[in-house]
Amino acid sequence: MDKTLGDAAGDDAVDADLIALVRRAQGGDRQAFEALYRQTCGRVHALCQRMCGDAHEAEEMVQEAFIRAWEKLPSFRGSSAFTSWLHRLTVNVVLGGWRKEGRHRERVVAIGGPEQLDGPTRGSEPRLTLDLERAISTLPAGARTVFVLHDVEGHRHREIAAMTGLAEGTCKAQLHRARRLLRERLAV
Amino acid sequence: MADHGLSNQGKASQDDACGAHEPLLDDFVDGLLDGGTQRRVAQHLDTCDACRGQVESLRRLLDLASDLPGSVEPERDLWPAIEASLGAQGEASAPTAVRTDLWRAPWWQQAAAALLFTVLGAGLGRLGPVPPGSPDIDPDGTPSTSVALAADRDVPGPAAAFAQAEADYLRAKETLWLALYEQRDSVSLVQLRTVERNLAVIDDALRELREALDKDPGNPDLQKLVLANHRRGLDLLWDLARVG
Repeated sequence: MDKTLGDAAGDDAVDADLIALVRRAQGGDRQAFEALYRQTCGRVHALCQRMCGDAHEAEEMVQEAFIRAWEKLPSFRGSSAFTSWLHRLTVNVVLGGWRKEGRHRERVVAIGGPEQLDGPTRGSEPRLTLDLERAISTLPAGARTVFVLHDVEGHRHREIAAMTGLAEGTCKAQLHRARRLLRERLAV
Repeated sequence: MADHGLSNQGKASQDDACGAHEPLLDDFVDGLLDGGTQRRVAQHLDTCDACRGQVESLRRLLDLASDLPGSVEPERDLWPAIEASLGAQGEASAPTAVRTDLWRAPWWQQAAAALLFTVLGAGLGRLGPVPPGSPDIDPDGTPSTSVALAADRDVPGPAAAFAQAEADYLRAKETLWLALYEQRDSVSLVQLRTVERNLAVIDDALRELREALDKDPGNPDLQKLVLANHRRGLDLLWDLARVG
């Protein structure tokens, strides 16, 4: 179910192209790295946008992720798809950034309960995909993170627990909370 | 739970069943329940409109989530900023993050630390008791910006002392900030931006406080608030210097 940054089966050819770029970038070729950025930034940005729920912060995370990718490229051995490697790295960058801003993030989580959401959009026209993007951004950070990683990115609870340091039971509770809030918000 | 159209006793029993099954519905739609539990929940759904409605709602939500685009381009081109950060790392090879700790800090961090502690100590010290008869305006005019000499100066009047603290703060902030910016390759971009934003908030507060001080010059409470904001700004930069 893990769709990460690429669709596993169909992206083999694309990944082969990416691997060629990765090899050049590992040798210090910045044009190759820019080409990697151009091919993958939309997916990295989508992930950051949904995890952060804030456009400005998402852009910062995208930048940080690619800077970190450049730094870590020598450690990429090709044992996994580059897109999966980049996806995991991006998740770590976002989560790591939040840990460094721990106090800020705790406050966001603390005040981000259901009462923070606007009233449900019952009766409104179902521009639901757009509404879902917007509704995700209003979720409390913990619930948003687990929802995005589980229901959008396709990770399992065990994987999310490993990435976030949460217990699996906590992941499930956050997912339940996120889904309940989103269903209320979207009136689906 | 919704009314299931049952007698009171039957309704209570149905509500109990809903209470038992409702926490399982997420795992049910995700297919994470063991076979027996999965069948038991399915049987409950056959008789419970409310729980069946919840499951349908969950599935609609999951369908929507799966329809979200996998790629969303940023509104602006982020590559120039990324490339600029890479540019600081040298041309030939992929960079490696540099981490320093306090006691192996480069010269600029040590200098900035000395500056910071001098400014904080001198700034707060200057707002001590005002000598009787002290003039409100320093007769010497423009205060010196030499932080190193701050402790050697005669104790000026409160307005001049405050002006001196302001000048020291601005100088320390610029020194520390510029030094951090020059070392941005070893500092997280996210952290830099966060500090930038927080400094902007502090500067806004300072601007308001200065306006208040213009109307009530020499107000010691306002002056202390200003210096407290100085401390917040310098603490922010210093925290960044330590993690950088």
